[in-house]
Amino acid sequence: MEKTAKDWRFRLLFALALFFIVASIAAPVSLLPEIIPSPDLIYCLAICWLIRRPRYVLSFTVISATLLCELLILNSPGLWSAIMLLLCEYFRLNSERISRLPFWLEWGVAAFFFAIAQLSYHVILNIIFLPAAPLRAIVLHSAMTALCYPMVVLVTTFVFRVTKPSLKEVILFHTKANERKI
Amino acid sequence: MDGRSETFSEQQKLIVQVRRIFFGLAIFGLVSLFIVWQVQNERMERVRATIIGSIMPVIEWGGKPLTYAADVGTFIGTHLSLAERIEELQKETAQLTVWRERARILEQENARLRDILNTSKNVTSFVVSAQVIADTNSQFRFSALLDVGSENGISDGWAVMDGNALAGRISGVARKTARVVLLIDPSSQVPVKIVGQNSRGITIGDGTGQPQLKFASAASLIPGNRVVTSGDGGVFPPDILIGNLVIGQDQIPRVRLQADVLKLDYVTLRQPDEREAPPAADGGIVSTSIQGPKEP
Repeated sequence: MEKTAKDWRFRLLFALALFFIVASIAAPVSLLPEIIPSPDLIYCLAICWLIRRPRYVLSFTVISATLLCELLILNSPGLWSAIMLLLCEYFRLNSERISRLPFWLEWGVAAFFFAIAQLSYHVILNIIFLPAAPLRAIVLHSAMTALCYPMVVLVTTFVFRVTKPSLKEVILFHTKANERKI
Repeated sequence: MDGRSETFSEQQKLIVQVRRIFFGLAIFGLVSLFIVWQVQNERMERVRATIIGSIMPVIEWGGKPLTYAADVGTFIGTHLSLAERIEELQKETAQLTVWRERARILEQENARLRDILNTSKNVTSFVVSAQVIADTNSQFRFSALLDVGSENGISDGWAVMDGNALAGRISGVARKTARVVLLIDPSSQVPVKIVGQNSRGITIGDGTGQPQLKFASAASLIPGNRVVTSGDGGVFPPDILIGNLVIGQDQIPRVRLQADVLKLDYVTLRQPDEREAPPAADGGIVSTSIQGPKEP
């Protein structure tokens, strides 16, 4: 009972964080002086939380945020959200495996999947003759996102206090599950 | 014990099944949304404008902390250079007083000459001022949201100007918001002419800060030449300044925009057709922004 309440608290926190990310994307403040693609903070946050605590990340929340973002910018909405949903599902299924990796490998996996997703997204846009970003912009966007990932992890760990399950927790979880079975 | 563990795993199996179904439905829904958007583009763009118009207040509220922080930053920055600014402004004021006198004289002269010619007064085009409420740039689409909409008589195709230079075109109007597609957006194509060269072309945004100039005769491509709207196609009024011609290292002619499209704040909107003014036109000039300059 207490456990689900905690889950929902963190789910709400996650939704709020995404909301503020979307709002700050839209805010008429140019943080970057030139046309440098801004990092995809929604992706960073979603993946970071999915690797640590997949229970706290509702795919519905992530998709709402990306759809809103797509509506705000001039994208034809749907495609990027679908790709994000696929990514979320992949990281959710492999969450345990990835969370066992050292941080630099986790970082590499996150950056790699983002670059691949971006590339395939723009290839699809190109195929159906929609305006797509030039390769340079895709590379910069992916690089910026990769650079921001550690910062998001820091904020997640020290501000939101969302960390990987410790060994103690894992053992506790399994013993409880066993107790339930018996 | 056996029975219990079986139900437990069966329940889990069911959850996995349901999850899978929802996942499939979601993917299907999102992809079909994308396809419908391509097929029914115009209608869906109207839907987009309506949705954005209705959720914008909430999003604006969410962006407040960031805008506030940025305001504090600029505030401190301005105060640090206050003395210089005052001196600059005093100089500017002195120059402007001279210009004002000259403008008055010209205005009188103009009126007198019109009187002599017995022409009817020129219909000035309807102008609205607006404030940017959201930057909606991605790595390849560039637009912004304004705080005016169909309530203020705005419709698609209006020219958006930063000072005296063109910044973009209105595309997507809700009741209280309108979207301006900036000149650097890939979908932005503006018929232009090069001043003094009798050469026409089209500027096409390509996601860099400077749109490309295409279809202009090679002889007229002298860097520094002024580029203005030609008015062809009737979307923009003619002779609005766009910027200066530059030729980059890749030998592609580009236009260095006069308007600072990435840092728009207050803009003015001009009606495409100068003949008819919307019913809201009262005296020709409406100031809609709250903190915007008031007409005397």
